[in-house]
Amino acid sequence: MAKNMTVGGAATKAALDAMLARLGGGVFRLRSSTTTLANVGFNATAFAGATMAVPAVATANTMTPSGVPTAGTIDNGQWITSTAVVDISFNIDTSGNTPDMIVSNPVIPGTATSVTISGLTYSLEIGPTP
Amino acid sequence: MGQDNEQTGRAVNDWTTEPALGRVKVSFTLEITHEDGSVTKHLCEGVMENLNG
Repeated sequence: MAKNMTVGGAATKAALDAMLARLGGGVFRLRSSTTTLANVGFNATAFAGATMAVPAVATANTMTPSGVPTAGTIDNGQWITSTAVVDISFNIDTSGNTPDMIVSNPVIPGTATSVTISGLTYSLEIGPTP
Repeated sequence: MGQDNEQTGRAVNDWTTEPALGRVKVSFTLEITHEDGSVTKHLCEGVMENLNG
């Protein structure tokens, strides 16, 4: 018997919206090991409602730039709620090291005065569609 | 102990031996502002297909 349990677009959207709503007023933390290099703020409504399609795609609302960051090489990120719960974490590196997130240049130089994030999207597909 | 899964013989609460269904993609642009006012932008992107890590 084939394994064919399915999850529809509306259910996927609901799951994604609920998960990302937790990040309202939280921060996107850029770190080097356990050292925080920069905190970029999520909007009070962190993400606009996700699309109904599969995958569901949610786009972040405008984020608040960090203050003066700590210079260093970013190697991981955390999405943290306003109540300091780390909901999502991932590693970041150049492509050769097969990280979760690939970036061409992970270095925050000493000349940096602020860091921000734009165009942040989260796409989710839970399973085959009905 | 979970109820046996007739298809695989695994306990239904065993989430560790196969990738979970699903896929996540995250994409954003990292924007760094410098002392001279210039801004450098770096695209950052990842796709995770094995949600068990």
